[in-house]
Amino acid sequence: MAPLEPYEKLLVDSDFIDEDEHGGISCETCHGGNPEDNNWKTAHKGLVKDPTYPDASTSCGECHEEIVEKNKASLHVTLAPYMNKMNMRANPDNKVRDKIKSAMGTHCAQCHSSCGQCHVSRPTSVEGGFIEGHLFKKTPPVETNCTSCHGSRVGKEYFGENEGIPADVHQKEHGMECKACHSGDEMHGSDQEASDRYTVENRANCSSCHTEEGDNPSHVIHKDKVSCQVCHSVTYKNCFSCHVGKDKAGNPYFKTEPSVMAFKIGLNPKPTKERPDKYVTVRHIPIDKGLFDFYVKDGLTNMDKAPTWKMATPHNIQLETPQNESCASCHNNSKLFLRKQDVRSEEMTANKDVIVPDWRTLSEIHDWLPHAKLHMTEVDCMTCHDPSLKAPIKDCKQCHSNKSVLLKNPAGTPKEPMMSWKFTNKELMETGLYVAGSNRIPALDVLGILIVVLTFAGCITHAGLRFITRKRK
Amino acid sequence: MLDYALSPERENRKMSEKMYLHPVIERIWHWIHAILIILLIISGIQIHWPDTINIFGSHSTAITVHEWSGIFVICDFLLWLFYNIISKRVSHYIPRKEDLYPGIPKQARFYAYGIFKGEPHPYSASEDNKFNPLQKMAYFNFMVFMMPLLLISGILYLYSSCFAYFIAFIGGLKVVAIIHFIMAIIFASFLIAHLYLATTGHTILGDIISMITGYAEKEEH
Repeated sequence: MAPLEPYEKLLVDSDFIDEDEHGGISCETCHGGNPEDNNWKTAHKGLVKDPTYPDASTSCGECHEEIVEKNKASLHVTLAPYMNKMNMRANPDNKVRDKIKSAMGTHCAQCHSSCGQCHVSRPTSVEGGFIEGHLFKKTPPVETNCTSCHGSRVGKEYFGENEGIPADVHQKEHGMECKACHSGDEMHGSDQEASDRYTVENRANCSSCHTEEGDNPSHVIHKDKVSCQVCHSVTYKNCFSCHVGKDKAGNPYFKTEPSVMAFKIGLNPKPTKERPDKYVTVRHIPIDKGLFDFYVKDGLTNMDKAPTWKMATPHNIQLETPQNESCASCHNNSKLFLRKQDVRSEEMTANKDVIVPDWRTLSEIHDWLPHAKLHMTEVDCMTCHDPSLKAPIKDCKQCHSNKSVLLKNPAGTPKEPMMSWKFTNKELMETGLYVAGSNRIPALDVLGILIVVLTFAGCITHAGLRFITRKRK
Repeated sequence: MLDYALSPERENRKMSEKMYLHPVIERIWHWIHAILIILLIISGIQIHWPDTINIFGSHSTAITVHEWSGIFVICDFLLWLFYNIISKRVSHYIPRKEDLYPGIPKQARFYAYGIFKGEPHPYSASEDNKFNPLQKMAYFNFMVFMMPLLLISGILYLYSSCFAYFIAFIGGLKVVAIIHFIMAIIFASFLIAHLYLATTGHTILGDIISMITGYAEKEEH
């Protein structure tokens, strides 16, 4: 985001007066002050820079009453996710909490927004300044108002600014802006206060657009078990620690360790009706026990109360990802999952509900199968785990019989016979229906091997006898 | 052109003590057939026991090799049949009455007893009758009965969905599989015996060399 010249930050464009609907409203109506007073000092008495924060009722609310009322519950205003989690982690001592509250007021609470900081100026947390000469923007520009705050993680992910990581398919292929998913309705909050963005009633949801599950069996199988991002997002940024440091002048400032690019699937610590998924992508958030040390020692004594690896929705969605390449690329790849060894020892308890416990490998899970290796390499996973079946195939006869499930479509209708001139075996292999060694008869195998071995032995014996008796010739 | 290729006179002028037994077409056919049969046996082993044998890297590669070798063997068998009928050389393969008796017992006795005593071969090859009675009987049975059975069962397997009704009529794919497997075992055993018996000529490598050069030593009795 390009910085603004000082004049750009505060010079009201004449177009605002001439063209903007709000241009007809006098300045003092919103910002206060007394235009009748000729003394500049007293004329500016009571003037407010952002009349929309914390309460826009007397400014925007005069006309946009409904929106302003709802907006009071917007996370951009309440900062509920920060506040709730800090309260959970904070020392229960009230004196300590007061100091933390003060620190949060100085730092955390600066990252809020308001009507004006979205529609008129850049957010205060990024030093403000008009978006365009005080002209009102119905849709806040992405660069100056969305990614100026949500830039280091979401913005870079969405626009593909992390080295080697492609931009989100919604941006790259369709040029979609933030508002395509995050509607004004969502941004303005709902009537109900939410504790975090996943409980916002009218939040963005993949299924709002992707309503059809279609024929993709992966979607059917994984529905309500894994979040969309588990299969469709790629490596994203993880931050470790977020200390408040102190500069030479003694002013506190944020100091963080370098971020780490990683992709981790963890357990959903609190599955809800809206988010029932067992597995979700998790991101390490910028939190540290010593966060408020500058203000008070032992501020966050209850770090164990909330995970530091937090459910995340990375904004770098791809249709094809390394983990959705095949079943085994995820199910047999422990590196993708948040394991004990990925978590710092002091954060182990905090993340106990997120850490994925050890599980058996695919080979171990399927070791009950006769010819397990053969089935694992030659039979497509979906053959047995066909979502149209009531349960995965476990009985040999379900495949190896005249009434084989392989001969029927999911709806129960017989499969179209393969009457092409393609080799049947080839076609069966391609459709994953090939059953290797299915026509083997062990007794006949033994007999066959015996015949060949005896023939060979007979020849060797004959040759030996010829060699022994050669002198007689 | 066929006559020219089969004509023994050209070379015989130089090598009068030898006879031109295997025309070039037959030799080319023989070695192509040999390679294809070996490929079929090896790939067949992997297809039949894919969990223990891996020769071609992957199961699907083995299947591809087996399928295409099978197709070529079908072509090569039809060519053999066509060639032998047209050239009338099929007579080499048809056992005569005297071949059945006393030919076969005599030849069998030689392999079972006489060969160890240093007795001469009871039958020696000639341009008109190049196989001994046992060879004749074996080749006749293999080429007239067993090879077609092997190939037909292979074709049914290859296009099992196209021949689904016929396969169901004869008892299902399992029956086809059993026939194909039994034939494969017989052919594998035959290959071993054939390779060994090729060393029982006048010299150990005599028959093999004659299948390369086309010429065989004449044996006087």
